[in-house]
Amino acid sequence: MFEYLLGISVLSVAYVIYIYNSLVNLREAAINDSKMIGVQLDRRWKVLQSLISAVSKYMSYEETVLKDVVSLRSQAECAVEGGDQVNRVAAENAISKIIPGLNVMVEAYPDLKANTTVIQLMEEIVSTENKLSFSKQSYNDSSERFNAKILQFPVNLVVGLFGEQFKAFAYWQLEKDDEKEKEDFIAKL
Amino acid sequence: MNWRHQLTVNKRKTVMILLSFFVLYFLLGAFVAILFQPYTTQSWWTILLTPQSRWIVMIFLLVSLMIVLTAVFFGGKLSLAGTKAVRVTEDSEDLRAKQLYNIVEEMKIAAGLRYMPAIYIMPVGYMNAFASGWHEKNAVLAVTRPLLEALNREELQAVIAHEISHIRHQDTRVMTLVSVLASVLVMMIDIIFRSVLYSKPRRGRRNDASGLLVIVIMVIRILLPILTAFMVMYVSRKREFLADAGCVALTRNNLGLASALRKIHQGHTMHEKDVQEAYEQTPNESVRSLAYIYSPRKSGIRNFLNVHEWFSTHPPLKERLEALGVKDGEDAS
Repeated sequence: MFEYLLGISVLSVAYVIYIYNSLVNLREAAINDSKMIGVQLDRRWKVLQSLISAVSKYMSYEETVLKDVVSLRSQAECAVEGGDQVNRVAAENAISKIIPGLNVMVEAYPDLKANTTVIQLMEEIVSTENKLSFSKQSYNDSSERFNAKILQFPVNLVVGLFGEQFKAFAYWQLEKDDEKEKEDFIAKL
Repeated sequence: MNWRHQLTVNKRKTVMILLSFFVLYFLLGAFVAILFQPYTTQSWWTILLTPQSRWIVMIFLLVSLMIVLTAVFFGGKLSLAGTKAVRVTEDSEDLRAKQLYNIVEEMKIAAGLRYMPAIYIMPVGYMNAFASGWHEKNAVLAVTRPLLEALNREELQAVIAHEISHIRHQDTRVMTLVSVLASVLVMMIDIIFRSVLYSKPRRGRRNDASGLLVIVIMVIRILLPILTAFMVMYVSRKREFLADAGCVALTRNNLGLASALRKIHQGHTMHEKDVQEAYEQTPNESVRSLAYIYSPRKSGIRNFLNVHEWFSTHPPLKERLEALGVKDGEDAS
């Protein structure tokens, strides 16, 4: 009888160790992906700064949407310093909304359109914006894997043992009114 | 079936291919050992136990190990052989090349890969792309110049996502192994074949026996390409569907790949003669034919010297488009 109990307890300890380690792997993957988002946000700011300096030869940036970008970025930086994640996300998302408009701005100035540096920077901006959304996508995917795992039976029992360490990750998503706006969108012809 | 399942399947296949390769080389070594034994009266297993035979078999196994190591470390670079491919880096001046680099980096982030593959542009006359290499670290991703010129950003992104999916699923590992090992094996047999053909009969060996050996070697010379073709068949056609699916999962867009595949197909059918010539003029096509996103066979371009092409390695375009949820004939937007 004792041998059976010992066997079962050894097996269950091994199972708990196995689950714990796989949860740690999944969690770290998700954390890594979330760091990637921050890296891309910084990169985007650098590219935008170069665009601003390239554009300033042709016009005062005060006249353009780039002015809004700069003020939004400083808002985001303030939010990071204050540890305010919600405001930071809001400011960065607002920049994302401005970026499609940059193309229109460049199109309006023939000098700008012909400038190879600006063409290169526009490609950089498109690419960085893509990288940003792909890293959000990747973060959401790895969060989904982790979140689904910790809710599954019997993994959730193991999670109960280490409650504080394994908390579900929040997904990156559009804000509610944003979604509403996109759902109600009607193409005007 | 998801890509994680494909990953385990590919790991199993890698082990199987390696094992069968070592066994083949063991047999080849044993065969050569018997070939060089002057006394034909001995039965074959006693010949194998002599010190000389043991050395020969050992050397063959060592050579096979070196070939495998070459495939592991240089497999990606080897698949570019003969194309004069140009490496694309972050600081490329050419805008199109820079865009290619950016797209690969985007897809790398989407797939959660840790290393950037080495990116190459092949200056050849046909539209195609492939990925190869043993590991993420030494993976190679190459597109041809006409492909780069003809596709728009969205389509190029789809093609790159398809190739990145191959790397992520470790299809590249299986394909690199198969193509490198199969070509080297055929080369080895050729060397043995020629050395027997042109060597003078040795003293002490009966003439009829050496005549028999030549026949045996010729039979092997014919059988071996068929055997390697079976190895190629073992790399299933499912991998293309799965990479297509992986592409859609990464880009969240099925129309990009559909229109890219259609453009590549049109590029092959519209200038069939030029394209065929371009394929023929590029050396070492057989190393890449398995890995290409689009098999030139699908537009009727054939090369019977290439054993890989004896069997269908890629699914038909129509089936791929259907799997992407796009009807053939429907215009891509």
